[in-house]
Amino acid sequence: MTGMVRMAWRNLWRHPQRTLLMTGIVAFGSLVILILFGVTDGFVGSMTAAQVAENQGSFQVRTAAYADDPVLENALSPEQLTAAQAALTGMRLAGIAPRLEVGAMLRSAYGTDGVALRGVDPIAEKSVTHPDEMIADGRYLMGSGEILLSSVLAEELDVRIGERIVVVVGGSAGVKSQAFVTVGLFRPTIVEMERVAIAPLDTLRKLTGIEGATTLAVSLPGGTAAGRAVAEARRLLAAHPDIAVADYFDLNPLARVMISGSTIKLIPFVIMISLLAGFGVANTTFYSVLERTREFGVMTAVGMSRKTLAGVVLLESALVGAMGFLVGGGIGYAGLLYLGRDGIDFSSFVRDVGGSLGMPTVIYAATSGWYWVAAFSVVVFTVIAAAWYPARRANQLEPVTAIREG
Amino acid sequence: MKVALRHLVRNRRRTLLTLLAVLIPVYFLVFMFGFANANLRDMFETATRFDTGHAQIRAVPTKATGSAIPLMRDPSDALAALAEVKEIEWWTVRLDLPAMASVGERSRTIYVRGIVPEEVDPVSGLADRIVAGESLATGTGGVVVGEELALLLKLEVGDEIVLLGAHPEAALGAIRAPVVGVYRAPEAALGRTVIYADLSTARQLARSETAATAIVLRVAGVTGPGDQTALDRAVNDLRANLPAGYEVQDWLELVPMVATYMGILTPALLIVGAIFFALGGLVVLNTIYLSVLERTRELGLILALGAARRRVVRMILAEAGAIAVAGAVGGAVTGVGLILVVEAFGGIPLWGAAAQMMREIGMSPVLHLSANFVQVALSTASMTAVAVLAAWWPARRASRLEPMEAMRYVE
Repeated sequence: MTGMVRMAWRNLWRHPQRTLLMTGIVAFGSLVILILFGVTDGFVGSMTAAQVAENQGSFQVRTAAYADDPVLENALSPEQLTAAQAALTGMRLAGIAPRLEVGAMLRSAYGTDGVALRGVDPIAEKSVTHPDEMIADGRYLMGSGEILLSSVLAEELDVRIGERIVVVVGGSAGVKSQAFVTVGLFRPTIVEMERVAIAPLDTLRKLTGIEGATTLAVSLPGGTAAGRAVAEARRLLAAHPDIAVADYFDLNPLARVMISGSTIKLIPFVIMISLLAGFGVANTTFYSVLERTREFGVMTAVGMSRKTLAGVVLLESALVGAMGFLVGGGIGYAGLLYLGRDGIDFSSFVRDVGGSLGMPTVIYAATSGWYWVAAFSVVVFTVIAAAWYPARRANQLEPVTAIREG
Repeated sequence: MKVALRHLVRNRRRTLLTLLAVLIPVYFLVFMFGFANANLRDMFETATRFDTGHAQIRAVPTKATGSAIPLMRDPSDALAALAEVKEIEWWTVRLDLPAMASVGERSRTIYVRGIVPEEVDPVSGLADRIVAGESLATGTGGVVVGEELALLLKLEVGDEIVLLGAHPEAALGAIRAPVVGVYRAPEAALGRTVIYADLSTARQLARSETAATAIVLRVAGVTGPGDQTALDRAVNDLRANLPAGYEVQDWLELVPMVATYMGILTPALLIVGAIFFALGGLVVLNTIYLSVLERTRELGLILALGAARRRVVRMILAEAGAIAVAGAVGGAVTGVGLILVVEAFGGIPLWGAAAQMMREIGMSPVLHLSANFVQVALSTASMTAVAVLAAWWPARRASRLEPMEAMRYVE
């Protein structure tokens, strides 16, 4: 076996330029596939990370009815809220915060905007989505009757820090309104959050007449697997059938489609690129076999088996595949590491198209150790495409004719 | 040229593989462009028919109004100016008001869109989108709500809805209106937020008998996103005619999402195209290089017999050119062919969650394809150019051979 490898290796370097060309083709194919996978996966990862960190938390606890019909009357009652919080004390959590979310209309002296109004416990929310860290102007919530607006909303309504804004909500007691003081403006990275206003939970409870909370947002300590944590939370809450745990996919039903969609879309790319690279290498191998007809004839004549001969040719293209793969993979992973650190800014696109789907504005490439599997398809294709002809040729080789013809 | 062709035939299998390497990128690109074209057309049709029209006349905003469109107290002067511009084939007056809609304990912030149903129906097909109850008619006073909103507010046809007008420039009006119908919007967000009412009903909410927020119009001869020049001309004519205080926005300004999508689609396709072209080019380079190497002795002989070096270069480029042209044209033909076949079967329908997602972003759940001659020609031509360019290096190498050494060359 080592003899065969040595022979194949020596054969390759008889034509360094040709070998380098083949290697280049395979390297390019592997590189492109790696980058495609990294960016696609990174896109999904960035989307999830931004949603979890800024908007939703790792998972949420709600009533079972709220998922289908998110209205105030399906909010968690004070008893349910206490029970849920008590049940989850057994888990290691980074933060847990009750929220009262309601659609509202904001009226300034100049304009009107429909928003999602989020009542939060100012202290508890800091350990879940850190709204205090997003403040771009003014300060975080300190007392009742205060409100935080996204900077986009503030501009649309022409509201400045310290000015009053009227909040109109519908609750169990009909449509009600109250003036809030704008104390701070926050700048989110996900567009969805630009349509959110944040106010203290107790003020909103008084305004709507709802004593509990619509959701209990939970964040996990870094490095915790969300899936396992959600399973544990479900187990801890199993005694309360009217309380449900919603994970990332329950909260973002379209995310699942986007993830599977973006992976499926990559398959034709991988096939096409593999095919092309395979053709390139097959052409060369085909030629190199033709050219060595006489040499092969001599080798068979001195007793080398046809199988070994085909094996050597196969090894040649396998070696080229391996070299190209190593080069392409090396450059590809280096590129992904770079993109993973610095990110790609998609803000102008996301603002208009992706906002409703919860996409983040900056996308960081992912570097999973598994992308090489997809890129490896180039090598597999290459070797298969390249192997077919030489194998056949070697099988049909008649030593005497081959020596005479070559 | 004849020599070049003969060489290609000499090594049929290799020629075929190279041909495929040129064919596949072109085929793929034509197909991708086909998707993109149909996508854009779909977006254009949905947006301009159902939502924005080709363009709108609006009042120039004098201050921030939130997400509300500035109010025109009485648009009759703008309508008079509009009648002077002959390219405009259709228009209608519309009043969009932000409002709070409540049913029992449930309430949502929405927009009430006051329309003249008889004018709007033939263009938007709103009447055909009614899934329960009936469509609007002038003077009946009812409203039509989207499926999504009906679900959120637990509304059924015949229920009463309380609307509280909240346009910052209008007086606060409130009305109680019966829901006469439920419509299915092309985009989920529209269905969640837009309630249709007769124009006079909407004007009651604004407490004004002449108020409007937009004159929605369509321009003759504009049928797709590619007719921007005709649209621009009409919009400019209109701008010149309009009295002060009005502005014209075309559909791209009104749905910036499509403009951005168009902006990002072309570079994205070009990057994909470049990747495939580069790979195809490498394969061509490889093949031509091989065939030059293989014929070193023969080329030496040709040179020794006194052929001009330039002629050798031309011969080899002709060889590459023949492969490239055949492959690229083949790719274009198969690509367009596939598009035609898919379209003959009525497009590729999506189902389940994927269809839901298309609806969420306002696109039809059936994927269509459409070939554009210019794009097909450009893809074909650029792949051919890349392939010939790739052959240049081996060709030059061949022409620089020293005849004596070349003839002595042994593998």
